[in-house]
Amino acid sequence: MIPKQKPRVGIFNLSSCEGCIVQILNLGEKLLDLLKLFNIVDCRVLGVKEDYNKLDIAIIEGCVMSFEEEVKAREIRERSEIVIALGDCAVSGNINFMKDITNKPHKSKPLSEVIKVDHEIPGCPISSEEFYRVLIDILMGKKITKKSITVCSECVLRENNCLLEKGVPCLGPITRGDCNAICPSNNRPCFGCRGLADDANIDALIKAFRDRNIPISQYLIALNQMKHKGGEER
Amino acid sequence: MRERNIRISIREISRIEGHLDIDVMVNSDGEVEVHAKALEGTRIVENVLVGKVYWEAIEIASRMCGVCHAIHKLTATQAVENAFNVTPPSDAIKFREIIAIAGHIQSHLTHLFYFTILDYLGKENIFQMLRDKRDLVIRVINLRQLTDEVIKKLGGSSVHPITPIVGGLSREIKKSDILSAYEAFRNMLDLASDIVEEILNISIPDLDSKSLYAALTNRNDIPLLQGKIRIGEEYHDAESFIRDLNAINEPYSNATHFIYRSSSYMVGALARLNLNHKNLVPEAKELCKRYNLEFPNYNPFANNLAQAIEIIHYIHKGLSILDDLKQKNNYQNRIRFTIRKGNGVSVSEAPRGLLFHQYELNENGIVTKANIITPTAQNLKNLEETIAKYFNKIRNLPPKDIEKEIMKLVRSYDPCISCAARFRKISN
Ligand code: SF4
Ligand code: SF4
Ligand code: SF4
Repeated sequence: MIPKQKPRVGIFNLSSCEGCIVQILNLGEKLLDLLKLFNIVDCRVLGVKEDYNKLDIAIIEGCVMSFEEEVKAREIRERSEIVIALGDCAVSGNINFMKDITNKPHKSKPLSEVIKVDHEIPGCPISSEEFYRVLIDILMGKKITKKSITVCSECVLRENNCLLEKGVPCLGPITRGDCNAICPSNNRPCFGCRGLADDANIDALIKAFRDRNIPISQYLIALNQMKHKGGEER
Repeated sequence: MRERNIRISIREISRIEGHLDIDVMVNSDGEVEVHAKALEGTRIVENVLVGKVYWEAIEIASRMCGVCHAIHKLTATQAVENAFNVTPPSDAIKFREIIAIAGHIQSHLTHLFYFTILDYLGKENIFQMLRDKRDLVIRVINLRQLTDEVIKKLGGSSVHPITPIVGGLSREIKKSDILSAYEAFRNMLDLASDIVEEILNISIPDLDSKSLYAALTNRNDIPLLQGKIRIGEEYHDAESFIRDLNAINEPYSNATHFIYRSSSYMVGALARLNLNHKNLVPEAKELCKRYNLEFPNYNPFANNLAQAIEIIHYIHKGLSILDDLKQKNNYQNRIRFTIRKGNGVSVSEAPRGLLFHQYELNENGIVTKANIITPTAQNLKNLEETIAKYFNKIRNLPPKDIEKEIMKLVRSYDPCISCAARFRKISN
């Protein structure tokens, strides 16, 4: 069902590099297709600022790193029907990059720690295609599901030489895929930018690292602690 | 302190990267003072970099800017290579240069068409342009898409490319990479001339504001990744240039504002062409001639025109590098290296001007000190001075128009506040 009025969309950013918004621009002509279906009414980067009270969809890039950003996130939430967390910064606080896990000089909170988030688009950066798909699915009233495959399973399909076997710290076995395993396909280890896969077995990966004498990264330790605390799983 | 009256105060200038406010003040003697307030910067990156292993630090440094991610990553990589004293194979260097060039063209297109040209066409945003200049918008989008294609193919990802690593490239270079990039650059050439002329046709305000200009230079090129720094008539390497920089931490701004010795200076496309215009490719020179565009040019609004000329120059440049690579069938993608203790600095030309990355690494390759100086941080003082000059010229216009004109001037500097405020010099 396509609603009579074009849904009003706002695109915002908190603490981020704007790379995920650039990925929206990277849709190219497909962005023009989206404009036929959606009405972008607020986006500072693009110079769009129309008068509006309510938003149908708010797309928020970036994590929350200050009180002001927390207030901004709450305000956006209040006037929006659906909130989408755009990219790893918003989804997880991009903990492997943004947060200094050892001495925590600043605290980066994922969006969902501050407000209710309806949909998450993972990745650092997001995939433009996935963004497109999610918006169309919302419009069609479809349920949005994340694929449950791991990066590893996509990597194996592409017949890459396994990096982990060579002693490279690849997080593919525990990371949610649907990115075509682009990092291992370019001979670089997966650093987990799409978050934990369902049923990720972190203990098994730590054991695999130990067996191969691969140093266990702070990130992996933090993931494991988070998991064993039971609390906030990503 | 003399009394100061705020005359103009502009909040959150739209259509630039990041959050910038401008205050124009006039004191009782009629002197004008301008504050460019970079108000972003909850993430002080250098603090996060310290303690990270070199390859992780490079990934983090690249994630500070989603617009100039490629050049940040390449510059950080080169700095670490300098610290380890490793030189990547020349094929890999050329391959990286293509990524830098594609990023450069893409950034200019975004700035010129999504941000700047709208000021001259009386539009608020690119979507409004769709109504009466649909063809142009689509051509711009398609040209931008070609640059994206190149970065994606060669870099592995459109944003935050994966393949550049210390020592060269993570994967082998395939002939098909080179051929498809060549094809993309050919197509860019077909699309670019009309698009670029659209920019060269705008009439920019008159403003004579000669500054000190700084850019990378070498004998027959307008280099992006390697070269000596030329400032005025002096030539420096990165270390000696940084030594002469003075960091000013203004209480009103979250960014560090840099000056060279005691003078502000300008970096970016205009500075590059003012110092290197002799090395433009013939096609770009021809274009300058046709539009009566002469360098050196002391009008900061001409930075827009210089970017347009650069689009043509760098497409040709890309083609000639790819032409070289096409002649070969086997490529060397990386060289082995040993991690060692050291200090490495690298300077490059980001789309917005000189960019410095400097890392001190211990014997395990862990970052012990980091220093990043972005183009915008170098331009801010110069921008303040230029706004003051321009304000004097237009001060009798109605305030709304003055605001508009100042924003136009700010946009022609193509500032990236996100970067400028996130990288701050840490005191030792
Ligand atoms: S998730 Fe990555 S690409 Fe996206 S805004 Fe954050 S750092 Fe940038
Ligand atoms: S390289 Fe990484 S993602 Fe690929 S199979 Fe090995 S562990 Fe899995
Ligand atoms: S391979 Fe891993 S790090 Fe790379 S894009 Fe996929 S999830 Fe992200």
